Amino acid sequence: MSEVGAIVRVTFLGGIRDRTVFGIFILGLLLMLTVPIFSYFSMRQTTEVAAGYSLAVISVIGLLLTVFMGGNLISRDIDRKAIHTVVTLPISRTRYLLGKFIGLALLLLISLLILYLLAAVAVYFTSYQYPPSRPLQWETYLLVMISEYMMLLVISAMSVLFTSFATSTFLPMALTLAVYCIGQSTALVKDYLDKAPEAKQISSLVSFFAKGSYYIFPNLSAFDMKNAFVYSLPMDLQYLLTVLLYGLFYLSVVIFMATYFFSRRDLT
Amino acid sequence: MTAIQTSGLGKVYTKRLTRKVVALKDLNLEVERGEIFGFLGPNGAGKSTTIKLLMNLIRPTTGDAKILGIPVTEASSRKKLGYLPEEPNYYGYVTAKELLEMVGRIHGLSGPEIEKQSTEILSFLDLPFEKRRTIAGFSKGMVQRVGLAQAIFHDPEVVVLDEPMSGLDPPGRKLVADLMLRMRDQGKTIFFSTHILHDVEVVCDRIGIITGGQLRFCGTLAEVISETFSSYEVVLRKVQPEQVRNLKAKGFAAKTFEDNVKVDVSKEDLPSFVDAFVQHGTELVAIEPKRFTLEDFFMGFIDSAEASSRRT
Repeated sequence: MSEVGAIVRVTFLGGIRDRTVFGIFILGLLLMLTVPIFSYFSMRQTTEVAAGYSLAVISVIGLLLTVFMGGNLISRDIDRKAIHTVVTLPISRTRYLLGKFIGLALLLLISLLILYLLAAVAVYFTSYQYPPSRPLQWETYLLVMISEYMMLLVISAMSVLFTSFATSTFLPMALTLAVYCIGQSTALVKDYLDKAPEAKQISSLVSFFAKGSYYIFPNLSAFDMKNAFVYSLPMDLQYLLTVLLYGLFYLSVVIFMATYFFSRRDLT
Repeated sequence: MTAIQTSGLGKVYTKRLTRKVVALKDLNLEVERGEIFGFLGPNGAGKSTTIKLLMNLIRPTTGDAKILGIPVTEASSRKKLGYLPEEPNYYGYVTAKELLEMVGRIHGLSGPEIEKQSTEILSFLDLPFEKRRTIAGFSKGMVQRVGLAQAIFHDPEVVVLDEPMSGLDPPGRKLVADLMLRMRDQGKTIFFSTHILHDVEVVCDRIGIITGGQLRFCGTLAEVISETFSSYEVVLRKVQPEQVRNLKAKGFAAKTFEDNVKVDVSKEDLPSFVDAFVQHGTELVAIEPKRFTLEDFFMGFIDSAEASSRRT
């Protein structure tokens, strides 16, 4: 597997030396510095606001990093023909793609660890000054981080799938963003169609497609556990485990599809 | 075992969903071990398509290809293969050494082997070692040399070079030609494409000429250059003006040059022609075979390909 490791390393280097990625990361750090300022605007629940705000910043930065890096992951190699010198080495396209994905996953992990660490410091000091109504559950914070990371991995896998057949850099980014938007809302839409009395007036075709989207696209809202930490709610470990298994299964299927398409693609 | 073998290899591209473009048709080729094979053709002839098929970058529509007996669809076929693409492009954010490290790891070399090999190759090709100088800041010639470095890094048995001399200055071209000859002396096989005929004459053992996606000729350079002549240039002195008129009347191409006359004479006519003139007191200055240059040979294929495409 040393060949996969070589691709992981180069992908990781590409990420940390990319000015746009660096810019997004710095933006995240700067936004994190504003946590105490914005949370003080709140007259009450200052710590809850600080926690909610910092976790939201991490979500946005994580998404930006995923969409940008994921969209560029293979498309840029193809555009600049750098791929011609890599896949012509004794490495299968499947391993090349896996190396790229793992490199991206590693980069996201390190970025998230730094951002979550800074957010934890900001929230801790805010809670020290303005004690929350319920004590903060730091073990829940860790679980929030794990579920958020799994969500970003699922989105990354989707972007890898799109880059496996797309011919431009823009298309995978646009499609990944679209999947994110759809994935955040399908559960809500399905819930509405199942339970709301007004939903009976909606045509069966629209209802069919909306429910179909729920099963086809990843249910990203399931990974959102931020409120559990913000309001110190009890965490259902079984639920978390189910969500993680769902994410792992979903990304495995998507990566498998990506390798299938990519292995058959002409790299002219 | 042949180094490179293709049988019935073909590629048809589909453009705009319906338009079919035949880029390569029924290519049957065998490149033996230890030879330098030049793959010649004008732009758009199918050279790069052939190389992309050999490197498994594109999938064939018909036929198959093997490198050292292993189908090119298997990654292991590239274990003993080095490849330099046309206009090579690498990850601009890595240094030459980091790139070679990736190449070495993928080829399964150990850390110390990579270190030793990269130091040797970088200094041989006069490439920078600096840790902070990434490939993005390299000149075109330097990038081409990085390409050569990664192609020969693992001491491959077969090297495929797509237009290796393009973009290089004269010292760079000499460096590549010398490198190719040195590798051939070490028993390596080199398959390279080019449209620069001088490069072929300098290094090749055998050549293949491709036009319009079809292989038109495959043979040794000696076959092309030495044996393919059909006439002689005879230089005569003290030729009477009447004799020159007679020659032209008989259809000979005769040119007067100072007090000499140059006449093109076919192989068959040469003995009788010489006898006739010497008997009339004409001085025979020189008889030189008019050889086809590789360029003449190559242009002949292009002209006939163009003519046949006009007919169809």
